[in-house]
Amino acid sequence: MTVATRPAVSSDLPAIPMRDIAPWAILAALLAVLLVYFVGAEQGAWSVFAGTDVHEFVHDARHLLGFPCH
Amino acid sequence: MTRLLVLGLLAGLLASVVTFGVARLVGEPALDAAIAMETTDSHTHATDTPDLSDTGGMSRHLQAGPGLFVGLAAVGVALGGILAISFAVARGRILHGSTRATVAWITALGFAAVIVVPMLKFPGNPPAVGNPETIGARTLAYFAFLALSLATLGPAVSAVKGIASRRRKMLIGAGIYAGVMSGAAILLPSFHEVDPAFPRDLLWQFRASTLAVQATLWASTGIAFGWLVERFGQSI
Ligand SMILES: [Zn+2]
Repeated sequence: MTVATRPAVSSDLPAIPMRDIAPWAILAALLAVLLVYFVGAEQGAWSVFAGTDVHEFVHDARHLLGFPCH
Repeated sequence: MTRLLVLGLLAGLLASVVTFGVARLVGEPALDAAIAMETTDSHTHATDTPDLSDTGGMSRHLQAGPGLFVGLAAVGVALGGILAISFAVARGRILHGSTRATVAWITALGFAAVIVVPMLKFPGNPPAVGNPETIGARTLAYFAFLALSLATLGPAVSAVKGIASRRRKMLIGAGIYAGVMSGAAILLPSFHEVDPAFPRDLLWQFRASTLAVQATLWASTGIAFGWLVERFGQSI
């Protein structure tokens, strides 16, 4: 009886309280918006940085992920 | 929760390695063919070096190698983070199945709402196709449609929460979502900018490859995340 019972993988786990999720949710959302913006739209429709280097560098990814370009 | 988020980001990064392979194999040939069309086109009315007309002076090797990988990895990491948060919210609250089933549901629903539906209204275009003057309007319409699609998921899910029958639940939820998105698709402008001279099979090949790239990214992020959570995430 020394073997600890492994916690069940699934439905038995209690839901994570929303107040524990919230700060991480904000962080993940900000990160996602920032990253997707730079890959999907920077120096196309809008520009944070001058020039076209960011656009050109991620250009293939932008097209192949289906974002509007050109 | 920290660990769950880290596992999500890691899953997205791993998935982008796989996706890079698919993008190179399936996507780059179509992209190169379109760029080749564009450069032959510019021969006729441009005097500058045709090879650089679409690259702003950046080498194609840089764009198709490190650039492609960094772009895919950035989107993969973003996706992994959102997947981790969605999983944390849904598990034990909205979805009550196993870890894998929960991840599979979220990934499938997300892929439909974030990729497939926007793609039907605003399919991606290869280089040489879009009109540079409408890039602002196209980008705005695309992201507005995407945001609406995501925003409709929440109310559609919560509207059917109390319904006991699983079948009715799905039908009504899908009905609400489809109704809102069809309305938006009709109201938002469409852009028909593909030159009639552009080869149809190349356009089709390109668009199919964007779907393949996204499907690979989403599926492998989901699979990697499910595996990582089952393996390392049991205490959270
Ligand atoms: Zn482009």
